[in-house]
Amino acid sequence: MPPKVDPVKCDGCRGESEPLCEQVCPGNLMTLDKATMKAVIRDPSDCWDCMTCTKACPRQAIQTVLQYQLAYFPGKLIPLVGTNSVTWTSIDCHGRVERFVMKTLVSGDDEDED
Amino acid sequence: MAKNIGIYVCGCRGAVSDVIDPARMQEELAKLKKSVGARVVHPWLCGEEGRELVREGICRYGLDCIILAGCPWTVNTDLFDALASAAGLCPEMVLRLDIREGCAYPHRGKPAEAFRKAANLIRMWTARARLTEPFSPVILPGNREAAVIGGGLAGMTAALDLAEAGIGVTLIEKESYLGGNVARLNKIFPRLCDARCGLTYLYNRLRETGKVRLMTLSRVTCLEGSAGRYNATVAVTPRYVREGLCNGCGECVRACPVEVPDDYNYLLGTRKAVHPPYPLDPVGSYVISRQYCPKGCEACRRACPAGAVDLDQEEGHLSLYFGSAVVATGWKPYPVERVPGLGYGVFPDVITNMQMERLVAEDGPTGGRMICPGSGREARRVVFIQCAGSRDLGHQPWCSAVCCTASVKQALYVKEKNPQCRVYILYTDIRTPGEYEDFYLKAQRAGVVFIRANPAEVAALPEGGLRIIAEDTLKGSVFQTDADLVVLAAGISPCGVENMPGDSRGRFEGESYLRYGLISAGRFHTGHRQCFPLETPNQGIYFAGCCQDPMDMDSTVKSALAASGRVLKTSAQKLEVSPMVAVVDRADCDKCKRCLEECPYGVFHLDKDGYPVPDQLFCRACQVCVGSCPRQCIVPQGFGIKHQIAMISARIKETAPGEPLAIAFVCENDAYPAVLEAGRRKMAYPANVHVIPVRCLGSVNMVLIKDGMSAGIDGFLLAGCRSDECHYISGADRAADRLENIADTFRDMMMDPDRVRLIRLRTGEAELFVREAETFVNRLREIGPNPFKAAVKI
Repeated sequence: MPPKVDPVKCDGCRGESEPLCEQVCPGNLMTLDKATMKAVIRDPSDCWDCMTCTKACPRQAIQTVLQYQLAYFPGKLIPLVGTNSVTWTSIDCHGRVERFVMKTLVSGDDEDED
Repeated sequence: MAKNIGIYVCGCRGAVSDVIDPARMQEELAKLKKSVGARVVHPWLCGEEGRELVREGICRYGLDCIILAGCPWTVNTDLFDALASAAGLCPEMVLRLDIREGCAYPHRGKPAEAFRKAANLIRMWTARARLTEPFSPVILPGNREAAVIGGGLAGMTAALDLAEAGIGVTLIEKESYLGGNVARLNKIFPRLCDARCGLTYLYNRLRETGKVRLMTLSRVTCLEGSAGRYNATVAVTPRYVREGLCNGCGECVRACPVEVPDDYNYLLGTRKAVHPPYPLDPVGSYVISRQYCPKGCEACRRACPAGAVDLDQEEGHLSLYFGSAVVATGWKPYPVERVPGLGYGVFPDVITNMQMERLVAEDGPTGGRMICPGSGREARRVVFIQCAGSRDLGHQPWCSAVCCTASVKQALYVKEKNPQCRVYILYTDIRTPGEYEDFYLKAQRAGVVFIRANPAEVAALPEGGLRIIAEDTLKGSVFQTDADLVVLAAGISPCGVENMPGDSRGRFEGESYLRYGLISAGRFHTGHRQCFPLETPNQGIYFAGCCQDPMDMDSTVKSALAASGRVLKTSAQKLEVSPMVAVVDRADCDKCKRCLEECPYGVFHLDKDGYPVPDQLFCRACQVCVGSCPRQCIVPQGFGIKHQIAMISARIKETAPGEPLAIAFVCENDAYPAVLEAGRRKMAYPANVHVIPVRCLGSVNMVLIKDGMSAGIDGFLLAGCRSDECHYISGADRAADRLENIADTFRDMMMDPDRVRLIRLRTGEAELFVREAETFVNRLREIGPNPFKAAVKI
C-alpha cells in the first residue's frame, strides 16, 4: 500500500522545488503539492512499497500502511534510519508490535572486549 | 584517525581513586584493544612525575592521541597543552575526559555505579579518539575593499576609521551633502558646540587619507553575493549641473519659477527647484531637484551664463565590488502628523524638534530668530511635547533615547535667546542618562518648567496662538496652557536600504529588514544582542548608528568605530578562521538544501551544480547545519557527528543491573557548566546519565538518537539554553523542534515519547539539572528497557 504523508509533520522540505521523497522515489511518484507545500503521492496504485521515501524523510512524516490483505488498520511498518543500522517497528492488525534491528555497517569497535 | 591512543586515568590524589578502584580500572582498560597503545592508571597526573610519565609515554610509544581522564577540561588546560606540545602533539589530540566532577564526585555514594560509568565514558572517549585528527588550518583570502552605506556621522566615522587602516572605502550617500541629520543640528549636547565643526574636521580627514571614494546622490539599489564578495548596484542621480562649469553665480536660482518645500530645513520654508550646494557637499556645484521642474521649463538653462546646466543628464548605474559593508543609513524623524490631536500639519506653529533646530540656526530660514512659521510673530511662549509617537504602542513602541536631552537643549536655546520667554516641557518621563542629568538641572535652574503630562491635545485660539490641553499625571488633573510655538519631540525612525539581501536565497526584505518591529519579532534580529551586537544575519554587513537603535552622537561614533573594527577583522590579505567551520562532503550530499534553511546566519549558498557551499569566512562554527543534515554529510573538523555516533555505538553497559542507560547531550556554553557545578558541589544525581558536551544543542543530529535506539540506549536527555538566550540565535529551539518530531515518531512506533527529553539550563542551575536528571531516570525506570534491546537482530 502507498505511503501516507502526515501533513502536520511534512514541511515540504522547507519549500524546496523537489522535496527529498521526490528525489529518492524510484517510480517518480512523489511530488510537491504547490498549494499546500506538502509532499503528495501522485498515483498511489503505482507504488510498489519500496519504502525508500519512508526511510529518507528527514521529518519522519511518511508512513507505510500495510496492505489490508495483510493487516487492517492500524497495521504499519515504521523504519528509523540510523547511520549504521535501520530499526523497524512492525505493528500488525491486532496491534501486536514486532521490532527488528538491521545492521547496515559493521562497527569498527567490535574488536574491544565487552 | 588516531592509530595509537594513550589512555591515562588520573586518581587525582584520592578524589577519583577513592571512589573508582584503580586496580579494577586497569583491568577494564585492558579490554580496549583497537588502536590503543598505552593504558595507565596513575595516582596524580598533574604532578611532576605524572606529567613526565605522560610525556615519556607519548615519545616512547609514539602515541598520536591521548585521553586524560580526570578533571574537566576547564582545569589545568595550559599545563596539559604545554605538556602535549613539548611532546609534539597538537592540543586537539589531547582529549580531556571528566571523571572527577562528572563521575567520582556526584556518584561517590555508589562506587560500583561510578566505576561502571567511568568505564563507559572511557570506552566512549576511546571511540571518539579513534576518529580524532589534528586540525588542518583553514586559510581564506580576504578583501581589502569596503563600502559604507550612508554618509552621516556614523558613516563618515566608520569610513575614516577604515581608510586610516588602509582599506579602500566607498562612501555612498543619497543626498548631495554629507553629514545627514547631524549636519543640520544647530548645536550638539553636552558641550553645546557646533555640530558642523566636528563634521568638517571628519570630512577634511577623509579627504586627506585619499582612500575614500565619496559618492553623493547615490543609492544602493541591489546588493548581491555574500561576505567577501558583495556586488552592489548603485544608482547615481545626476545633478543636472555640469561639474567644473558652475561658478556659483546664482543666476539659475533667480530664474527658477518654482518654489518647493525646503527639505534641507525639514520642510520649514521654501526653496527653488535649483539650489546652491549645501555645506559638506563634496562636489560644490549647484543641484537641480528635477522632480519639481515644470514640464518643458528650461529657465535655468537659459539663465546660466556658464552653460553649466544640462537638463538631459541621465541616471547612472554602476556596480561596486567589496568584501564587507557598514550600513549606516541613519534615521528619519517619526512622521508626527500620524499622531492625532497634536496638530502637526494642521497648525503651522506646531513644529518638530528637527524643525526647531533649523529655526534657531543662524543659517536657517529665519536667520536664527525664533519667528513662528504660521503667525510670523516672535515666539514668547514655547511648549515642548515629549514622546510624540515614541513609547506608544500605536506608533513606535521604543524610547527614542535622545529626545529628552534634545528638548532640554532646545529649551536652553530659547532661554538663551530670550530669558523672558516662558518654556514648558510636557514629558512622560525625563530620560537624561549619565552626565546629561547636569543638563536637565541646568534647564531647571534657567527657569524651564517641567510638567509630567499625558499626550496633549493642541487647538488653535481664535485670537491667534495655540492652546494645549493635557492631563497632569502627577496631580491627576487636566490643565491647559497657551503657546505661540509648540515643539513636538518626534522619535527616531530607522531608515532602511533598498534591496538588502534578506536571507540565503536572496529573497529581498528591503526596508523592513531594519525596522524595529521585525527586529524585535525575531525574524531579522541582529543575532545575540550581547555577543554579536552589530551583525546582520547576512555576514559581512554590520550596522552602525541610528539605523539599528536610537542613540546619541556619542554612541553613534562608538558604534561606527565598533562596526569598522568588525570590517577590519575580515580585511587582511589572508585570514585564518576557526578550523571547525562547516565543510560539505559532496559525495554524500543530495542537495536537499536543508542546511540553507537551518543555518542561523545564512552562510550557505548554492554553487552552479546546486551543492551548498558554506561561506567559511563567516561561519561561526555553531554546527546547527550538522544537526540539520539528513545525510550527515556536513563534516567540520574537530569533534562532530562521526565521533558522536561512534561514542553512542561504543557498546556501553548499564551502570547497575536493570538500570536504564541514558545519554545527555549538553550545550557547552550553558548546560555543561551547570552539570560541572552539580559535580563540584558533590550533588548526587543518577549515574545512568552519561554526559557528552556539544557545541550547541542545534548541532545534535537526530540520527544520533536513532542510532542510540538501535544500540540499546534507553533514553536521551538534551540540555541547552533558554529560547532567547542561545548564542547561535535558535540552536536550542531547533533541537526542541526536532525532538518533538522524533517523540511523535516514537508514539507511532508504540514507544514512549518520554525517552527523549529537552531541558533548558542556565550556567548556574545545578540543582535544576539534578532534579531533571532524577525525574528523567525515574521515568525511564517506569517505561522499562528500550524495546530494541529485545528486537530481532538481522
